[in-house]
Amino acid sequence: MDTLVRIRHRLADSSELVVLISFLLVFLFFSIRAENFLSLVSLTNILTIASIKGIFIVGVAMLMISGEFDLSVGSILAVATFVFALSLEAGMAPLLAFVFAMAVSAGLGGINGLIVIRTGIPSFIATLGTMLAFRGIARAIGGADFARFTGEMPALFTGLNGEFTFINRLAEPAGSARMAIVWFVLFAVLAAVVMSNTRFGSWVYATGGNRAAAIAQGVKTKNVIAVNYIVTGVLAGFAGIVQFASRPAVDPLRGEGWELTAVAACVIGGIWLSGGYGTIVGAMLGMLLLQMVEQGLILVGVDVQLFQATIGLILILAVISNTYLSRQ
Amino acid sequence: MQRRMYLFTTLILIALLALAACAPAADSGQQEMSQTEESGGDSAGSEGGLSFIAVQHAECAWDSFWCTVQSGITTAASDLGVDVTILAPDEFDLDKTASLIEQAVAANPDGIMLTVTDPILFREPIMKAIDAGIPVIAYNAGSGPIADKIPYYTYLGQDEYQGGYLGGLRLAAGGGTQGVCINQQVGHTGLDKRCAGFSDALAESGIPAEVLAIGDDPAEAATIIGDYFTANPDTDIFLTLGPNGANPFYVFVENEGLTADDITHGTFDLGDEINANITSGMTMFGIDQQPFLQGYGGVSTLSMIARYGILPALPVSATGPGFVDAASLASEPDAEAAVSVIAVQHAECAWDSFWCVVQNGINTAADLMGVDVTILAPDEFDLDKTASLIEQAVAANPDGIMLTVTDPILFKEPIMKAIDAGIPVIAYNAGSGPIADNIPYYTYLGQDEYQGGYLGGLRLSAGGGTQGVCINQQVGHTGLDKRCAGFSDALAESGIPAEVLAIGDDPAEAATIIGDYYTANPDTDIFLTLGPNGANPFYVFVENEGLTADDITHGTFDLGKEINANIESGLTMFGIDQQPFLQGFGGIQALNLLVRHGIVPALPVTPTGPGFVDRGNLSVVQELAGEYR
Repeated sequence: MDTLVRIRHRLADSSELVVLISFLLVFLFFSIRAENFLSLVSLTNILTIASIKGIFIVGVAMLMISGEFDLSVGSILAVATFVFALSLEAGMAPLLAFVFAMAVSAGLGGINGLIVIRTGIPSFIATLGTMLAFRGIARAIGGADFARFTGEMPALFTGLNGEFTFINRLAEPAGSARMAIVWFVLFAVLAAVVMSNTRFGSWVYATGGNRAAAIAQGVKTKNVIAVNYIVTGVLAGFAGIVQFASRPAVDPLRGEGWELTAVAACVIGGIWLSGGYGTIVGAMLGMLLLQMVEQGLILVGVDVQLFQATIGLILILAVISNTYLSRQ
Repeated sequence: MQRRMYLFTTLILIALLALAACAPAADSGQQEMSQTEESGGDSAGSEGGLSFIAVQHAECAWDSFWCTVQSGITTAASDLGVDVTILAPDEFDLDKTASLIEQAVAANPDGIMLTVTDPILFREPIMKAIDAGIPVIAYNAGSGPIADKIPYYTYLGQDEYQGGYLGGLRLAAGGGTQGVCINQQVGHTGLDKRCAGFSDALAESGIPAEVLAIGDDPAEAATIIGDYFTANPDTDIFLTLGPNGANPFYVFVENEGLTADDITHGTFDLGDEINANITSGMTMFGIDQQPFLQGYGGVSTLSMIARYGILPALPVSATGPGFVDAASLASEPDAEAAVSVIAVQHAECAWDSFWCVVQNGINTAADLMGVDVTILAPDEFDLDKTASLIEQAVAANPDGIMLTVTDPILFKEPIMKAIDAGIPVIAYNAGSGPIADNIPYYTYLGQDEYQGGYLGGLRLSAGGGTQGVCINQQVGHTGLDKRCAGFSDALAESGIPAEVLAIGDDPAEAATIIGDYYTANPDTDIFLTLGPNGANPFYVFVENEGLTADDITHGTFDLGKEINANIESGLTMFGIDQQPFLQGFGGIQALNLLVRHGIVPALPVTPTGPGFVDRGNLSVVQELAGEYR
């Protein structure tokens, strides 16, 4: 009896619980209801497609736990991809172009951080502004046109988002597993370890949970926030380049609207909008859940219009459940 | 308490998901029902549906080739819910066939499809039908309205040049040293065109090609081929133009002990020997003119005209080349098969009204043909999302995918996934065809830009003229440049010089540029504009100069409020429409024919436009705007 109670308490403590249950239920539902859902191509689709957004959702999740938003991730992603593509076009070595694009992403993330910590403007508003501004930069440097890479694929592309042929060939039709999955898992695990096992992780939770108390205890909350913005910027840029490595074209609207998907994934994953609570694993499951619903609905033969409605319902349910749990 | 809450939450989640999965099915069912009523209502416009008459110079009863054509006709009639009567003489009798056409006119059908076996003999009866206002199209025999000099809408038959060209591309794909086109009847226009296409395709890979004339005597032909090979032992790519070339070729191959490792061979037509060699791998393909499609397409084209006011885009609508290879010989199409199609497009009706017409085409065709279709599109313009939708569509393993190739580089990877999974893929509305896009999907349904300019130029210069100008708002844009090239070529045929005038997208400035050009070139009397951005400044210029339809002729691409008003007033001769309804309808039809009847689209680009809108059909088009046009 004693152990049962302990288990129950532990469950109430884990913020991923709701998303985990939802994830399993949705998985079960589509496994039964949707033909081909358990096929290699469907499952690898979910993983690979979710991974691109998943990469920067790791950053967005850390930011949200520290109590801040970043609505500019989609725009940073577009700028970074354009910088990468245009540098390649200009004849820059792939690795150099990559480093350059990463530096630009870090810079844009840094700008977000500076604005938020120096001006005290709510991050929602600050990054709404930079979202528009960075989008404008993406459109301007791209000349309102596509940037494409048509030459021989450099080895860097394979490293960034090559196919796992040995997995994909296991079944017919072939799967679509790519390196993106590895990056997603790698960053998520890394972030999860940092968040739970390091001092920096505790600072992030403290910054989002009770900032005044954190400052009183000597946590440099401004530094924490700035670091998180830079990490998010870098991850957003990285996600864009990973994507470019498999589909080497970028349009000026790339990434528009993805910031909201990121917030939705985090909230479904159990992260509080007010900060201080939630985990990286939860956000990860949230993103996978969203992608699973999309693939599942397509397999069931539902028009994608309903995808939005379903996501909306899941989001609201997740918030209701999380709010309920938080009262315990 | 907590546990109850979990249970409650999860139960609600399941219920909602179940609801989500079921609700739209009922929803789309309703949509389909209302569409059935709609199309039923349309055809009921002519009391009990449309009735067409097909007049052909031969028939199934005494010429088995025609059984396939007639099967196409009856299948289309049942797919599209129309009535078709087939008339043919009891034996080969062209005079009788001509009088059957006259009798068909007397029945006043909603459309006539016929074989233009002899354009001179048939001219008078066909003109009778056209004068009576009956839409006329030709199938199987004919050369198109321009070459036949009879103004029927279009001719459905094989494109001989493209047959040779596309065949040549396939044969040369694996490399080669020297090609030869074995022609059993040098001087026959159709056969010569096949060889010309073949040579052009090989030239693109830098492989020289020659024409070898053989006679119709098989034994002699084999010797001639053997002698040629002795003299040109490097020859490794062979095209034959039918059984009369292929059969002696097989004798030659056996004599020389050649195998598929030494040479590549393709041929026109099919037959027992050819089929056996395709199966064995000796022959890469046989080119079929697809008689089934000549019948099916004829009925479909007439329905389009009568029901939706949609005109065939080109004077010749290609039903062939249809490439038959070992895989297609082995597959057995199933006319009764259930067909499920997923359409993935970069925009949708909900947020871009242009797409309502396309989607109406998709749903109307799916409904008529009993095809199950799901349309997928992003919630806002998001090409990457569109690409992932293609990937996710592949997982559903549908019988066919139709999609917009909005960016060939971005979409190549997901489209290749579908093709590698063995799912037939065709493109609609956005794309440039499999060759230009460098993605081996079947065909792209969209406007043929060059032909739009060319056919527009023919119309504009029909009444003569001194000097033409193509007003281009975006010089360097491939599609727009092609329109101007077609225009210039058409005018050149009448000996009228034509220039391209670059204007920007700024209307006021554009009007000034046109005015300045006209001052410098006051003889200019034929104007083509490439859309509202050219036409609207052009109208300002016309008003400034006080010009009228008596002084100049003007045609334009696209329609719009101002353009329509000027077509109405007579200043503008026509607007060219890309016919989005046909892009959706045609996509479903092409996949339906492919899956159920093994019919492959003939050309890399299946033109849905140019669709000419002039004073004659403007009111019809306006009436159908937003739904079918």
